[in-house]
Amino acid sequence: MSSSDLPRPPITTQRSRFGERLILKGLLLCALLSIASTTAIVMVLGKESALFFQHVPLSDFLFGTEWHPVLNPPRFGVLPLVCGTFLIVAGAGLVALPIGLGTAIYLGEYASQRTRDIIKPVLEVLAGIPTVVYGYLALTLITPMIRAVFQNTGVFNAASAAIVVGIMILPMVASLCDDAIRAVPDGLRQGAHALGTTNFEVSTRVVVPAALSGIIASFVLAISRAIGETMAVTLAAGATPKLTLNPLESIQTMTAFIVQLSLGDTPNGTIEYQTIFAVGALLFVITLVMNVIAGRVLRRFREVYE
Amino acid sequence: MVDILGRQHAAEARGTRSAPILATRGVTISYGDSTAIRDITLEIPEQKITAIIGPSGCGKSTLLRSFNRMNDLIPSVHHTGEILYHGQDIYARGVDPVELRRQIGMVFQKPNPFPKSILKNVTWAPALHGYRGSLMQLAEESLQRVALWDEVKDRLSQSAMGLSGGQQQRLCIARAIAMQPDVLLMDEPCSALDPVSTSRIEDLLFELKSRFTILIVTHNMQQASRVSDYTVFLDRGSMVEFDVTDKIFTQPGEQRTADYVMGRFG
Repeated sequence: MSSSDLPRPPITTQRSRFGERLILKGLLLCALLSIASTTAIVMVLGKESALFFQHVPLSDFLFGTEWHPVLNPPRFGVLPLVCGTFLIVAGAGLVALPIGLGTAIYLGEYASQRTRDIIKPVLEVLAGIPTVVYGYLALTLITPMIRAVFQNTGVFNAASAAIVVGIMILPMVASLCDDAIRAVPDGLRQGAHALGTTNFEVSTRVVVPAALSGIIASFVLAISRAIGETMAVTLAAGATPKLTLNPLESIQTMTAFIVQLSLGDTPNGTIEYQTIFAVGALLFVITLVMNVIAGRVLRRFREVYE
Repeated sequence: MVDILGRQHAAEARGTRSAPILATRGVTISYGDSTAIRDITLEIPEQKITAIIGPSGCGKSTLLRSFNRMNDLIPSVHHTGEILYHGQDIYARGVDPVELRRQIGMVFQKPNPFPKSILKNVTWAPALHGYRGSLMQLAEESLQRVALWDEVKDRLSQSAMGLSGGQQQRLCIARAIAMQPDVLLMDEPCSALDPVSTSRIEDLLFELKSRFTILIVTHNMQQASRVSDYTVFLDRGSMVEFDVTDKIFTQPGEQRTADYVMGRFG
């Protein structure tokens, strides 16, 4: 090899690297696309909700306890829908959070590699099932089971929907908690074991607290997913906007209401049409807040071990 | 060869050395198919500092971790031979590794304080085990013994993660001695520390010697010669020599030991 083998153009070359700039632009476009779609969603939601709030005062919407926008006279109090969503989220959380965390602790701290190799893919399959299937699971399996125990349960009820939504978000909780638990440095476990503590003490008193921010973040994300869940609750929970905390009654969630009204032939530009967007905007704000909280909590978690 | 040394050592033990608190008899430990240490027989004298030296990968840590059964936590590890603590086989039926580890404490290469408060780091395990005295007093004594008390007494409730590396390592030693163990196993406790922190911890070892039997793995020759009473030299999983530290460093019985301590290999 002589020094002349490799061309050495002067360093002041003006050659424009056209291909490189093209790729750069292309990549930027990809990034902008998601920003553009978010902006578009916010704008549409904002515009239609603004029209809605010209007719209905914000306080009536947020604090009203009656919701029947298509009856005469219409009532636009969103609380029954929020309450319905809350019932589903609370029930789903009761199912998914403890079981998900328990699964993650088992996978991270106790399971052999072979067991992990079986359970992990099964959880992923669970996460990949279309939500409409969960809806039918609720109607055909869970509801009859609940009705066998509580005879006066309706065919459509919040409990059944909450349970399937719980099963639906379970893989997410388990998988994110598992990530958080696996991110705990092994040195901490060893340090705790070396002090003569049992496996259980090590995992519950050292590992889980050390992974707590990640665990909480996973809870928040899962709950925000439960809030936005639509298909299963539309099928299983019914369409009765009701301000109740009884999970055996039929209720309606915010998402289920949006589906119900979208399926009907609600004319564009009417107040009924605009309610969809008002409820959608509220849903958007709630999940956004949840995701921001989750992000904050996660950021704190990273700081600990850096 | 090792056997001859072993017998020499046993003979010496009857004379000047104190009784062994830990011993191994023909211990071989493997990770899956690869053997980490091979047929090691030795006796660790009580209330002395014994250094384990040898080139990287010679099995120093594996040997150290066998004494409190920390190797149990790695699924692929298996062993043959006997490991004795006060003459009792620690792998005998009915021996609970959790109880064993309360009596044989350990300090790790990388400081690993819990992400809890400084106070909690020291009192966590004793509280869990139902310590009857005052936890605050225990924490103060333990922290004082590692010369950390004055530095942290005003911020005991702050997170231990905010301490410097050297402080964290001293906290980990305090955490270990708060359990009032018989033996302290130290796996290269200074390798992640700066020279100042290192010398503080070495000073500390002399202090601790009166209360504990200390086994320290180190790849730092000077450290081994400075702090230890006895030295074990391992090479490629086998014990080459085990003797009084002065002898290992001034007139080793084996050419390999001489080459290693003089820095000619490893």
